Amino acid sequence: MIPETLLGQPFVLGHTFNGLYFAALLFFASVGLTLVFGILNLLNMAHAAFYGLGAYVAVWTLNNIGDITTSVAALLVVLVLVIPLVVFVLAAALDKSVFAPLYDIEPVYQLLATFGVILMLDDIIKYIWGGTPISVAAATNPSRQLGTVDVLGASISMYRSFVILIAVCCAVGLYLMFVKTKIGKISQAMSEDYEMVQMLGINVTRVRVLIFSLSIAIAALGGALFVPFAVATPAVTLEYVLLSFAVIVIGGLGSLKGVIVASLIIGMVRSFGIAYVPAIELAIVFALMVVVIIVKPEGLFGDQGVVE
Amino acid sequence: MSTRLPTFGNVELTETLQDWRLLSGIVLFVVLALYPGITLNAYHTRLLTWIMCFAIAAMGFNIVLGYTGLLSFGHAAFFGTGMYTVVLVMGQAGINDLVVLLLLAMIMSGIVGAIIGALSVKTHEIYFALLTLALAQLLYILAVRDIGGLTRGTDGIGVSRPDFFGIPVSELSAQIYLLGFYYHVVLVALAATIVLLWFVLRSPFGLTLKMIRENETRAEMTGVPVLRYRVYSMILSAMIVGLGGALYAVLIGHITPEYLDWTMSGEIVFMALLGGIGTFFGPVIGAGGFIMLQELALSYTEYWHFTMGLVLFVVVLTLRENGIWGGAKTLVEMITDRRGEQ
Repeated sequence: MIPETLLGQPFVLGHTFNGLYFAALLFFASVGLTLVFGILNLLNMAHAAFYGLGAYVAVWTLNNIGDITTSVAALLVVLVLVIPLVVFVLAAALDKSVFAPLYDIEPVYQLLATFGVILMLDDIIKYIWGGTPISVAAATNPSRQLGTVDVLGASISMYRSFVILIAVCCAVGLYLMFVKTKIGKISQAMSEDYEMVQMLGINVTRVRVLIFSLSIAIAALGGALFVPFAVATPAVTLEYVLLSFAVIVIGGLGSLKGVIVASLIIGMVRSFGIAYVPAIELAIVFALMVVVIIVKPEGLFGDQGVVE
Repeated sequence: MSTRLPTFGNVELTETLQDWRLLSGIVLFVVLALYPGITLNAYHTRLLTWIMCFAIAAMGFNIVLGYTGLLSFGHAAFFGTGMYTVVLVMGQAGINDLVVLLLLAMIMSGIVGAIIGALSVKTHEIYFALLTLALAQLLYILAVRDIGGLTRGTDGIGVSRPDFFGIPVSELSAQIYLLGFYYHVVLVALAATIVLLWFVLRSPFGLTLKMIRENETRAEMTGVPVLRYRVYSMILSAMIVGLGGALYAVLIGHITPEYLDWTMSGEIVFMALLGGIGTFFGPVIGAGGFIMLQELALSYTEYWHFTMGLVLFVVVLTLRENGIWGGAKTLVEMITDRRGEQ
């Protein structure tokens, strides 16, 4: 039986909050995967590897920034703006080189080629930072500096709240981009009919590079935000590759709304799963994935467009 | 959106038997059988045994990808089931005969194949890949978290050397067991797999699988129960992959849930693709190429993942379904054609 304290209000509140935090991380790791598939027809297995890369870059940056600044605001700016921007530029270069030939091949081969990219990235990370887990030093760790507040008896981390806030901003920002901006509307049109957009005289390659790099940058942002509360290990990449596939399959390939809803579902399942059934917490996630593919292969929102 | 794969030449049986390929196959088999006895090189024998275990697995895998046209990312489930069946039957039931263990491993893998197959054959393309991945991952979690209380989680379980038809070969020293006995068991298993698949894939059954791969709708229209055939293909594939896993379990002597993880599935796919999923012998060549490449890369650098990733990337973009075996065949054909013209 579950002890009575486990059913108490602070406990439920705490786990709901943790579920939101997990959901935020899953959203960062998988939103780009679904956008790149929905708009550009590329199934990039290596997508979440950039989440791992972001985590490593963030640990390295935070551990070397101590001499320049230790102010929380500066550290958060580095995590939220500087690292994603650097990765954005890197991703643009990769899209023009490594990923360019993959757009024209079948999804099954895309899956295999990008599995090769995971293996390569894995060793590049090991070469630069070593194979042992590394973590952020206390002096420049924003999650330590921000501390916690008590809400109705539950201890809520300020840093985690910040991560959830950024995820919400990111989701709203993407939605507005697709609905309000010209680039967003072109992207939506590309997801409907790539060749027609090309024939209308629009430079689809430029839009492609932008969408791809933005997607990768969001994954790296997720990794960067994740790491002050955890450690960077090579296993992070593999874990998030699987989880991000679970998210986009449950939500429906190519749907922004699907990613948001599926991230919330899996975030909550994991948070409450760890609390009540720790042995099979991950199994529930994959069981959900299995049920969705069998019962509704298009996912919860996959039969709709990118933002509907 | 269907996966384009080349059609296989439909060779008549009598023609096949008079073929030079049969003769060279027998010669190769004899050379390989004599190899450990002549060289007494334990390292090479071990490496060859290792390659042959995975050659069996990769051939089994290719029934589903190359012949039926479905990419499974969950074949680690069958490889791992084969391994765990051997170790659990040995440990829990005390059965210590290799042949019985291998048969049980194949049956168990076949059952898991039937279950995963039945659940996933309705889906296509990437959905099939992701569904088999998720199902296999469930099995992995079962083993890692030690849910049945049998697998001892990530610590894994040791495998002792089994006997053979009541002959207490397990009492031999480890070296002689490998050189004089176990290597030959694996070699015979590989030869049997090749012969079996050569005939099965050329039988009406094999041709039906290819027909489904080439045009599912047409197969359905001509009265082929497509879904049922896909399940059969998964069962056959799973049994052979399970055999490879079972043989490998005895070779390495210690098994962990890692062999059920999706990266293991990725390695099996990699091997088949490297050798050529559109060819019959490709997976055997691919298993050899993969393991030797890995050994070579490991002897120069600890960063062998990078090398392997790069090779996979390049093979997918250049050779595609032909792999190195298909590529080599095309090269030979080009050379002989040019000679014929002169």
